[in-house]
Amino acid sequence: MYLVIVVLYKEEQLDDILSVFAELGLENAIVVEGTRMQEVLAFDVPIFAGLAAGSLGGKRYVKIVMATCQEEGIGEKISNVAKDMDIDFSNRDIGTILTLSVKEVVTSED
Amino acid sequence: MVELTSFMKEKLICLELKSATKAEVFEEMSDLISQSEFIPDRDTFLAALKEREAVMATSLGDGVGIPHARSDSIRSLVIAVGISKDGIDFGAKDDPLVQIVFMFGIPTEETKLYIQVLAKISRFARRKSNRERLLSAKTADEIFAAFEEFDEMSGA
Repeated sequence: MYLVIVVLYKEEQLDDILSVFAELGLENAIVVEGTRMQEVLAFDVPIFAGLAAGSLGGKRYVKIVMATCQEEGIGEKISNVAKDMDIDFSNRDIGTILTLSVKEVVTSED
Repeated sequence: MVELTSFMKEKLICLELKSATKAEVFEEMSDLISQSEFIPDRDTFLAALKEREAVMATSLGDGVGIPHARSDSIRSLVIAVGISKDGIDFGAKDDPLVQIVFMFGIPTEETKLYIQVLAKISRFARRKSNRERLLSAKTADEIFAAFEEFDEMSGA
Protein backbone atom coordinates (compact mmCIF):
# COMPACT_ATOMS: atom_id res chain seq x y z
CA MET A 1 0.00 0.00 0.00
CA TYR A 2 1.11 3.54 -0.73
CA LEU A 3 0.30 6.91 0.72
CA VAL A 4 0.30 9.64 -1.89
CA ILE A 5 0.55 13.22 -0.73
CA VAL A 6 0.05 16.22 -2.97
CA VAL A 7 1.16 19.53 -1.55
CA LEU A 8 -0.51 22.20 -3.62
CA TYR A 9 0.79 25.73 -3.45
CA LYS A 10 -2.07 27.25 -5.40
CA GLU A 11 -5.30 26.80 -3.52
CA GLU A 12 -7.33 27.71 -6.56
CA GLN A 13 -6.20 24.49 -8.23
CA LEU A 14 -7.65 22.30 -5.52
CA ASP A 15 -10.85 21.55 -7.47
CA ASP A 16 -8.84 20.30 -10.41
CA ILE A 17 -6.55 18.18 -8.27
CA LEU A 18 -9.52 16.59 -6.52
CA SER A 19 -10.95 15.85 -9.93
CA VAL A 20 -7.66 14.13 -10.82
CA PHE A 21 -7.88 12.05 -7.64
CA ALA A 22 -11.49 11.20 -8.44
CA GLU A 23 -10.67 10.15 -11.97
CA LEU A 24 -7.88 7.90 -10.75
CA GLY A 25 -10.21 6.24 -8.26
CA LEU A 26 -8.59 7.72 -5.17
CA GLU A 27 -11.93 8.19 -3.52
CA ASN A 28 -10.74 8.13 0.08
CA ALA A 29 -8.67 11.28 -0.14
CA ILE A 30 -8.43 13.76 2.68
CA VAL A 31 -7.79 17.47 2.21
CA VAL A 32 -5.82 19.35 4.81
CA GLU A 33 -5.01 23.03 4.93
CA GLY A 34 -1.44 23.87 5.73
CA THR A 35 0.79 26.86 6.11
CA ARG A 36 4.27 27.32 4.75
CA MET A 37 6.80 27.61 7.51
CA GLN A 38 8.59 30.48 5.83
CA GLU A 39 5.42 32.52 5.72
CA VAL A 40 4.61 31.87 9.37
CA LEU A 41 8.10 32.85 10.37
CA ALA A 42 8.04 35.97 8.21
CA PHE A 43 4.77 37.30 9.48
CA ASP A 44 4.19 35.78 12.92
CA VAL A 45 7.65 35.55 14.50
CA PRO A 46 9.13 39.01 14.79
CA ILE A 47 12.76 38.02 14.66
CA PHE A 48 12.22 36.49 11.23
CA ALA A 49 10.42 39.52 9.83
CA GLY A 50 13.28 39.96 7.42
CA LEU A 51 11.94 37.00 5.50
CA ALA A 52 8.86 38.99 4.57
CA ALA A 53 10.70 40.65 1.72
CA GLY A 54 11.20 37.31 0.06
CA SER A 55 7.80 35.96 0.98
CA LEU A 56 5.32 34.53 -1.41
CA GLY A 57 3.10 37.56 -1.37
CA GLY A 58 0.57 36.27 1.09
CA LYS A 59 0.36 32.81 -0.47
CA ARG A 60 0.91 31.32 2.91
CA TYR A 61 -1.68 28.60 2.76
CA VAL A 62 -1.25 25.34 0.96
CA LYS A 63 -3.65 22.49 0.40
CA ILE A 64 -2.49 18.99 1.14
CA VAL A 65 -4.38 16.12 -0.42
CA MET A 66 -3.64 12.62 0.86
CA ALA A 67 -4.91 9.22 -0.14
CA THR A 68 -3.91 5.61 0.17
CA CYS A 69 -3.84 3.28 -2.78
CA GLN A 70 -2.47 -0.04 -3.98
CA GLU A 71 -1.12 1.18 -7.31
CA GLU A 72 2.53 1.64 -8.03
CA GLY A 73 3.52 4.83 -9.82
CA ILE A 74 0.47 6.72 -8.62
CA GLY A 75 2.45 9.94 -8.30
CA GLU A 76 3.36 9.87 -11.97
CA LYS A 77 -0.25 9.12 -12.92
CA ILE A 78 -1.46 12.09 -10.91
CA SER A 79 1.18 14.24 -12.55
CA ASN A 80 0.21 13.07 -16.06
CA VAL A 81 -3.51 13.67 -15.63
CA ALA A 82 -2.89 17.00 -13.91
CA LYS A 83 -0.64 18.07 -16.76
CA ASP A 84 -3.49 17.47 -19.16
CA MET A 85 -5.43 19.96 -17.05
CA ASP A 86 -2.58 22.47 -17.35
CA ILE A 87 -1.25 21.82 -13.88
CA ASP A 88 2.41 21.03 -14.35
CA PHE A 89 4.19 19.71 -11.30
CA SER A 90 7.55 20.19 -12.98
CA ASN A 91 6.92 23.86 -12.24
CA ARG A 92 8.14 24.37 -8.67
CA ASP A 93 5.44 26.96 -7.97
CA ILE A 94 2.68 24.40 -8.44
CA GLY A 95 3.46 21.90 -5.73
CA THR A 96 4.93 18.56 -4.89
CA ILE A 97 3.79 14.98 -5.11
CA LEU A 98 5.15 12.48 -2.62
CA THR A 99 4.49 8.76 -2.60
CA LEU A 100 5.37 6.79 0.50
CA SER A 101 5.29 3.09 1.09
CA VAL A 102 2.95 2.19 3.94
CA LYS A 103 4.41 -0.43 6.27
CA GLU A 104 1.47 -0.96 8.56
CA VAL A 105 -2.23 -0.20 8.59
CA VAL A 106 -4.45 -0.51 11.64
CA THR A 107 -8.11 -0.11 10.84
CA SER A 108 -11.36 -2.04 10.84
CA GLU A 109 -11.51 -5.05 8.55
CA ASP A 110 -14.54 -3.75 6.61
CA MET B 1 -7.88 3.98 -15.57
CA VAL B 2 -11.50 4.12 -16.66
CA GLU B 3 -12.02 4.09 -20.43
CA LEU B 4 -15.02 6.14 -21.46
CA THR B 5 -15.43 4.23 -24.71
CA SER B 6 -16.06 1.05 -22.73
CA PHE B 7 -19.42 2.56 -21.84
CA MET B 8 -20.27 4.21 -25.14
CA LYS B 9 -21.84 3.00 -28.35
CA GLU B 10 -22.07 4.79 -31.66
CA LYS B 11 -25.81 4.24 -31.75
CA LEU B 12 -26.03 6.28 -28.55
CA ILE B 13 -24.54 9.36 -30.22
CA CYS B 14 -26.89 11.96 -31.69
CA LEU B 15 -25.33 14.52 -34.01
CA GLU B 16 -28.38 16.75 -34.23
CA LEU B 17 -30.57 17.07 -31.21
CA LYS B 18 -33.98 18.46 -32.07
CA SER B 19 -34.78 19.74 -28.62
CA ALA B 20 -34.90 23.43 -27.83
CA THR B 21 -35.27 23.24 -24.05
CA LYS B 22 -33.63 21.34 -21.24
CA ALA B 23 -36.82 19.42 -20.52
CA GLU B 24 -37.06 18.38 -24.16
CA VAL B 25 -33.44 17.30 -24.37
CA PHE B 26 -33.86 15.17 -21.26
CA GLU B 27 -36.79 13.45 -22.96
CA GLU B 28 -35.01 13.10 -26.31
CA MET B 29 -31.79 11.77 -24.86
CA SER B 30 -33.62 9.48 -22.44
CA ASP B 31 -35.18 7.90 -25.52
CA LEU B 32 -31.72 7.58 -27.01
CA ILE B 33 -29.91 6.15 -23.98
CA SER B 34 -32.69 3.71 -23.16
CA GLN B 35 -31.90 1.93 -26.41
CA SER B 36 -29.20 0.36 -24.27
CA GLU B 37 -30.17 -2.90 -22.64
CA PHE B 38 -28.64 -1.58 -19.43
CA ILE B 39 -31.37 1.02 -19.02
CA PRO B 40 -34.54 -1.04 -19.24
CA ASP B 41 -36.87 1.51 -17.70
CA ARG B 42 -36.76 4.81 -19.59
CA ASP B 43 -39.27 6.62 -17.37
CA THR B 44 -37.53 5.69 -14.14
CA PHE B 45 -34.27 6.85 -15.66
CA LEU B 46 -35.81 10.15 -16.69
CA ALA B 47 -37.25 10.68 -13.22
CA ALA B 48 -33.83 10.06 -11.66
CA LEU B 49 -32.30 12.45 -14.16
CA LYS B 50 -34.72 15.21 -13.19
CA GLU B 51 -34.23 14.50 -9.52
CA ARG B 52 -30.48 14.98 -9.86
CA GLU B 53 -30.93 18.10 -11.97
CA ALA B 54 -33.15 19.62 -9.32
CA VAL B 55 -30.25 19.52 -6.88
CA MET B 56 -28.07 21.66 -9.14
CA ALA B 57 -27.85 22.25 -12.86
CA THR B 58 -25.41 19.89 -14.56
CA SER B 59 -24.11 22.53 -16.94
CA LEU B 60 -20.33 22.51 -16.82
CA GLY B 61 -19.76 25.82 -18.56
CA ASP B 62 -18.11 26.08 -21.98
CA GLY B 63 -21.31 24.89 -23.61
CA VAL B 64 -21.24 21.47 -22.01
CA GLY B 65 -23.88 19.71 -19.93
CA ILE B 66 -23.56 16.41 -18.13
CA PRO B 67 -27.03 15.37 -17.00
CA HIS B 68 -26.83 12.02 -15.27
CA ALA B 69 -28.77 9.67 -13.09
CA ARG B 70 -27.98 7.10 -10.45
CA SER B 71 -30.67 4.52 -10.07
CA ASP B 72 -31.12 0.93 -8.97
CA SER B 73 -33.04 0.35 -12.18
CA ILE B 74 -29.88 0.88 -14.23
CA ARG B 75 -27.95 -2.33 -14.78
CA SER B 76 -24.63 -0.89 -15.85
CA LEU B 77 -22.99 2.40 -16.75
CA VAL B 78 -24.07 3.82 -20.11
CA ILE B 79 -22.96 7.08 -21.72
CA ALA B 80 -24.78 8.87 -24.54
CA VAL B 81 -23.66 11.98 -26.38
CA GLY B 82 -25.84 14.60 -28.05
CA ILE B 83 -24.92 17.67 -30.07
CA SER B 84 -27.14 20.70 -30.37
CA LYS B 85 -26.14 23.20 -33.03
CA ASP B 86 -28.38 25.93 -31.61
CA GLY B 87 -27.60 25.28 -27.95
CA ILE B 88 -29.92 24.69 -25.02
CA ASP B 89 -30.39 26.79 -21.92
CA PHE B 90 -29.59 24.60 -18.92
CA GLY B 91 -30.55 27.36 -16.53
CA ALA B 92 -27.14 27.76 -14.98
CA LYS B 93 -26.34 31.37 -14.30
CA ASP B 94 -23.64 32.87 -16.52
CA ASP B 95 -23.12 29.66 -18.47
CA PRO B 96 -23.40 29.72 -22.26
CA LEU B 97 -26.00 27.63 -24.06
CA VAL B 98 -25.21 23.93 -23.92
CA GLN B 99 -24.22 22.47 -27.27
CA ILE B 100 -22.64 19.25 -26.10
CA VAL B 101 -24.64 16.96 -23.84
CA PHE B 102 -23.07 13.97 -22.15
CA MET B 103 -25.81 11.93 -20.56
CA PHE B 104 -25.09 8.92 -18.46
CA GLY B 105 -26.81 6.52 -16.17
CA ILE B 106 -25.17 4.37 -13.55
CA PRO B 107 -26.31 1.94 -10.86
CA THR B 108 -26.64 3.62 -7.48
CA GLU B 109 -24.08 1.43 -5.77
CA GLU B 110 -21.31 2.22 -8.27
CA THR B 111 -20.12 5.29 -6.42
CA LYS B 112 -16.45 4.97 -7.25
CA LEU B 113 -17.06 4.51 -10.95
CA TYR B 114 -19.56 7.35 -10.91
CA ILE B 115 -16.97 9.76 -9.55
CA GLN B 116 -14.29 8.51 -11.95
CA VAL B 117 -16.47 8.85 -15.02
CA LEU B 118 -17.77 12.28 -14.08
CA ALA B 119 -14.21 13.48 -13.52
CA LYS B 120 -12.97 12.01 -16.79
CA ILE B 121 -15.80 13.42 -18.89
CA SER B 122 -15.16 16.78 -17.26
CA ARG B 123 -11.49 16.60 -18.20
CA PHE B 124 -12.35 15.67 -21.76
CA ALA B 125 -14.83 18.52 -22.00
CA ARG B 126 -12.64 21.23 -20.55
CA ARG B 127 -10.23 21.01 -23.48
CA LYS B 128 -11.35 23.36 -26.22
CA SER B 129 -9.94 21.21 -29.02
CA ASN B 130 -12.05 18.26 -27.84
CA ARG B 131 -15.20 20.36 -27.78
CA GLU B 132 -14.50 21.75 -31.23
CA ARG B 133 -13.91 18.27 -32.53
CA LEU B 134 -17.28 17.08 -31.30
CA LEU B 135 -19.09 20.12 -32.64
CA SER B 136 -17.55 19.75 -36.09
CA ALA B 137 -18.04 15.98 -36.31
CA LYS B 138 -20.05 14.79 -39.28
CA THR B 139 -20.52 11.23 -38.09
CA ALA B 140 -20.90 9.32 -34.85
CA ASP B 141 -17.69 7.52 -35.81
CA GLU B 142 -15.77 10.78 -35.60
CA ILE B 143 -17.10 11.47 -32.13
CA PHE B 144 -16.35 7.95 -30.97
CA ALA B 145 -12.83 8.27 -32.40
CA ALA B 146 -12.25 11.44 -30.39
CA PHE B 147 -13.03 9.52 -27.22
CA GLU B 148 -10.89 6.58 -28.27
CA GLU B 149 -7.93 8.87 -28.74
CA PHE B 150 -8.59 10.52 -25.41
CA ASP B 151 -8.77 7.13 -23.71
CA GLU B 152 -5.52 6.06 -25.32
CA MET B 153 -3.78 9.30 -24.49
CA SER B 154 -4.86 9.19 -20.87
CA GLY B 155 -4.09 5.55 -20.33
CA ALA B 156 -1.65 6.57 -17.62
